[in-house]
Amino acid sequence: MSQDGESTADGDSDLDRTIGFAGALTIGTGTMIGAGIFVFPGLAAGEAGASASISFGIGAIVALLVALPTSELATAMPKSGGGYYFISRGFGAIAGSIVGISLTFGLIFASAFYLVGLGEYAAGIFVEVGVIADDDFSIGPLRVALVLGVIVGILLTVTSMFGTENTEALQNIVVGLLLAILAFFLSVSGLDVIGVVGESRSPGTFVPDEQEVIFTTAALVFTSYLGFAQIATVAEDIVDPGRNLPRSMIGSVVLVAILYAVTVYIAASTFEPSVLLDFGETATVEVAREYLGLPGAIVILFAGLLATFSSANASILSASRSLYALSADSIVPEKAAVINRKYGTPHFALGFVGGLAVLLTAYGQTEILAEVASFLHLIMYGLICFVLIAIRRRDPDWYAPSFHCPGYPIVPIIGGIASFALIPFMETLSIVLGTVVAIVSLAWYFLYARDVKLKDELE
Amino acid sequence: MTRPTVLLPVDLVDRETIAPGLVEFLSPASVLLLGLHSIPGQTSPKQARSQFLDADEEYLHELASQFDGEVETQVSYTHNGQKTIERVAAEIDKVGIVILGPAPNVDRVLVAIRGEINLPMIAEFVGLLLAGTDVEVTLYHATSEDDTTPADHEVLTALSEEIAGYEVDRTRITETVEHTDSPVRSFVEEAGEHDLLIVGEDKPTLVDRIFGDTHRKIARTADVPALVIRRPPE
Repeated sequence: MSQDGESTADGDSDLDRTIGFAGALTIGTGTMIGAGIFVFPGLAAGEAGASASISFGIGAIVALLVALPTSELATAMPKSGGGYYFISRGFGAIAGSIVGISLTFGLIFASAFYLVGLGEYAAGIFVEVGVIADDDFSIGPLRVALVLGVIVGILLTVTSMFGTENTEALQNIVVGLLLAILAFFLSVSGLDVIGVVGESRSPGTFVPDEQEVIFTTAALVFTSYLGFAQIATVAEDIVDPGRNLPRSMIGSVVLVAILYAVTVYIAASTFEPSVLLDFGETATVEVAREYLGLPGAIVILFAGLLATFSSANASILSASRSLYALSADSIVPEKAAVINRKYGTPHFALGFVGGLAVLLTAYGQTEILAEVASFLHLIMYGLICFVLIAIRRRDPDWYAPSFHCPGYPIVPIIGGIASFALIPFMETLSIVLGTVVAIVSLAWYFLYARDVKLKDELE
Repeated sequence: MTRPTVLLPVDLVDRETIAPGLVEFLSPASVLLLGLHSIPGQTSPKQARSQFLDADEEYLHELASQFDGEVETQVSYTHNGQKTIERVAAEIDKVGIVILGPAPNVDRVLVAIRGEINLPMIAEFVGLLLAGTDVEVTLYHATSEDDTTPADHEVLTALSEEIAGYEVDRTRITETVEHTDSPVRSFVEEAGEHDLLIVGEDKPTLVDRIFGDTHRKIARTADVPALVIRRPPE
């Protein structure tokens, strides 16, 4: 009797790489777009008028400068840990733990933010069709929007625990539909703004009185770009990563940036900043109503629902994957990410992440949490840029990226500095809370993971 | 000439077992035990592999040790088991894919013939598996035509000849041509009276792709294991 102990895991061979350029682009776009394509344009244009387009542009440039070093690292280290993995290998377990643990919380905060947004859109639809009088309507102690967010959060968590088939196909459909709705809305209202249809509107004041407001707005809206680096976490499944990884990261940032900039420009050309500020988060809906009437408002609310759903789902899964990366290195107990045999999903990780996100959703004050998530991401992005330099200088044997960051070392240096430079423009409270999360992560490292030895760590 | 390989997919999540009769019957062939550990879309195959590989390999080797002949094992952590089976099968020259089912003993096998699809390969498999055993085989062709044409019988006779060439006594081979309005139902009934089903596989039809494989359904309904013999690559 002869027995061959050969075993393969799908994912090991090129045959099993399944994500092409379009798939990777969808992952990046889908994670980013719910981050507030409808929430931020109103808020930002209210703060900075049409100059908010510049703020979105600044965010996009920072994101692009980070995307290039991230692509190089991801092709050399195609691990599901993404940023955590790069930083822990380049800067060691302490830096890795701080980034990895606080990013897990950052993703949970972001999930809660999306869930609240989702609830707001759902409640908005109910208001438009007349089911409820206004969105202050409460069920028990919670506003209806929060109740809806909590329900969807629980459903998402439970269905992910049971394991979902065809998640990629579903995500592709959601993102595709969303882009189609946006393209239609932006074309119709855009034609109106530049005067092809109807009378031309003035594009509002372009440069606001204080330049600083452009930067504070850029820091505020940077949340919109969280997600492009998620593409790095599926690097092992991407076909021809040396080519598709950087292209999809850059492509998704550019695509999202254009959508934001155009939306902001149209919003600012439609209403005065003070009016937009009054509308707040629902400004985009009011813009749609202005051009397309009630159906327009409902369609945009529906699109917002899709966008936040897609981002909430992606963030919950990312947070649970990030716990796995930490547990694989014994930074958190191995049990945290253990896969349930029957359902094939990490029950504790998903339950913990989803449960916490649902609790925060019920609490409702998620805008500040979104900025904390931004803060934590910016720290990670900055470190990713500098870790590229550290790793390239040591040039370990295992380091063989198939994509090389152009403009090295200028691009990663500017990318790193730019990421950190946005931080001072954030709300003080976000910075304080973010720092607290980082300190808690550091404390965890010293209490639990001090003796961890990482594989492939730089000497 | 390459030896025919029997690809035997086993569900590792449910710890699927192989009926003793089937183990004995398949032992003359080269067996590739393909352990499939299905995981949902959001779980990474690498993580599942790092957690389950040791236990899965141990279980698969336990299954492999039941076979007397040549056995290989392979474990796959997959989001789509059927696709993995297809991929593995496509790399093997002569391959039959087993659909597991209960079989305490395999004494009578049913070979279903559709046209002239795949005959030499079917003969080679049947000959290899039956040589040196007392297993009896029924070659079965169902037709919905009013009259059987001589061609229907000729195909079966030719196949009998070929199988006999593999040292299988002609007395163990029965030929049956049946007229029926519903070939699938008669086939299921006939299969129920046998211990194992052998079918030649054509390219999957559109219906198969949409509603799932017909062979699989027949094997399920008749509650017997099946060996689906792949068409040789052109």
